[in-house]
Amino acid sequence: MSTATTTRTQKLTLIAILSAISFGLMLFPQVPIIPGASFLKLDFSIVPIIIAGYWIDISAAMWTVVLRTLLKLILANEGVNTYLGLPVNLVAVVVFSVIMLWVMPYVSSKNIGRSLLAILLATIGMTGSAVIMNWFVAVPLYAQFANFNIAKIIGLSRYFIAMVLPFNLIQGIVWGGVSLIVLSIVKPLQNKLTS
Amino acid sequence: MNNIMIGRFVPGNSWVHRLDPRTKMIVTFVYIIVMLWANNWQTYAWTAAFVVALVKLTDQPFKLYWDGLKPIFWLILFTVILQLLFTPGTPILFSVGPFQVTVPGILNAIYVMVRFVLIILMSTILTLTTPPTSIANALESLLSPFKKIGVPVAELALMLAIALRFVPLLMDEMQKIMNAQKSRGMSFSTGGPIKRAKAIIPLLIPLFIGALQRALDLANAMEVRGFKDAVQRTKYRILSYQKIDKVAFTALIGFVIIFFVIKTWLHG
Repeated sequence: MSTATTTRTQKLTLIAILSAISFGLMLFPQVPIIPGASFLKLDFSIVPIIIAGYWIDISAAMWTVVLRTLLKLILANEGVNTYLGLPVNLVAVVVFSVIMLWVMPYVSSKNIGRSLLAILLATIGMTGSAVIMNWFVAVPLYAQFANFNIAKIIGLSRYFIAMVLPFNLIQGIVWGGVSLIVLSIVKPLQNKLTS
Repeated sequence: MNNIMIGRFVPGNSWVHRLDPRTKMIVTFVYIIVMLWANNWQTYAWTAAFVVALVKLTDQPFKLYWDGLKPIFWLILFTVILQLLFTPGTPILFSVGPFQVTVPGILNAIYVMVRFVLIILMSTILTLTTPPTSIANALESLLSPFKKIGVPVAELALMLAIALRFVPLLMDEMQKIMNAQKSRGMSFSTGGPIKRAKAIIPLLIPLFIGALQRALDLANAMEVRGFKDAVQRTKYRILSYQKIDKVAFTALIGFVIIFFVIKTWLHG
């Protein structure tokens, strides 16, 4: 998607501004999906990351992820919750964006099947990564540093089956759907970057 | 939404304000790592004393710190209640239905609350006394060793500085669009995920249109002023460590040593 006529400065400024929007969308609106798991909230900060990927290239999407994470740490740090939750969120967002951009490199209203396949694979990939990150990183770290032992309090199988899996599956479908709708609406704007 | 970060930096001339931003970032980082090792009331008391001393040195009213804690009040409360009800052990003080409130549960709840509050206070000290642009400069300086392995640290710092500059503007714009949509009957805070996803689309479209225009305008403005490469950029403020920073590093080393002395010898 990157073109020779898009200057390096334009890419830098666009990534910076999309990161600022992504950070804003991390804070509001947040939608709790799973009853009893108020810490699992759906946000829409993925959309500017996906936009960066399609308007510029995949590395721009990754820089947007890095920058919005730094903004979150600097401006809206929630202490232990941020330090332990952000790595899981970071991996989920990266996996989702990379699979979306890899399976569907161009947005086209003619190829609905490929769009749905991209959303499906991205959702499965993200859910898998979320399970792995929760299992090996978040659950042990929460138990160690927040005295919140999910295995004892909720039960690991219940936590994964009733919370992590449905949350990530719903999140992936909503992320993919919203991103595709927004991308198809703002597609004509892309010409501005190449003119 | 805006009160989370806008106006978070409060100018001043306190001892903490005058520290190099890199010093403040290193102290914050080391403190948080050390804090995660606290496991008894003595170590919690020592880490709390360190933060309280720093808060005092910032010469800022406590209300500002309280504002930093308010956004996560419910999260802290939720975690504390979970600790109270689900920590097994003896002696059992009383039962609430199938749940038992135990002495270890009360201790855990207090420790978790203190840990949350102290880490947030420490992060608030950094953001209250350091302008965001200085944080970006400090980050560039601290990450400079990564240039050797090809990380574009200068570009990252430039993008971070631009993003920090635009966050308040974009938050204002978001608020305006949301108010405009609300006045047309749209609700962003009710309904399930699909309904809310539908509601967010009319918010995102104008945001992206504005973002693209701003980015292109800014890029043009930078290029007509001769901007070519973030690497060759000169800086208005050059960071340099002063005597006061050496004092801060000495205090930090003292804090860490005493922490581990308390942890190892006073409690085992």
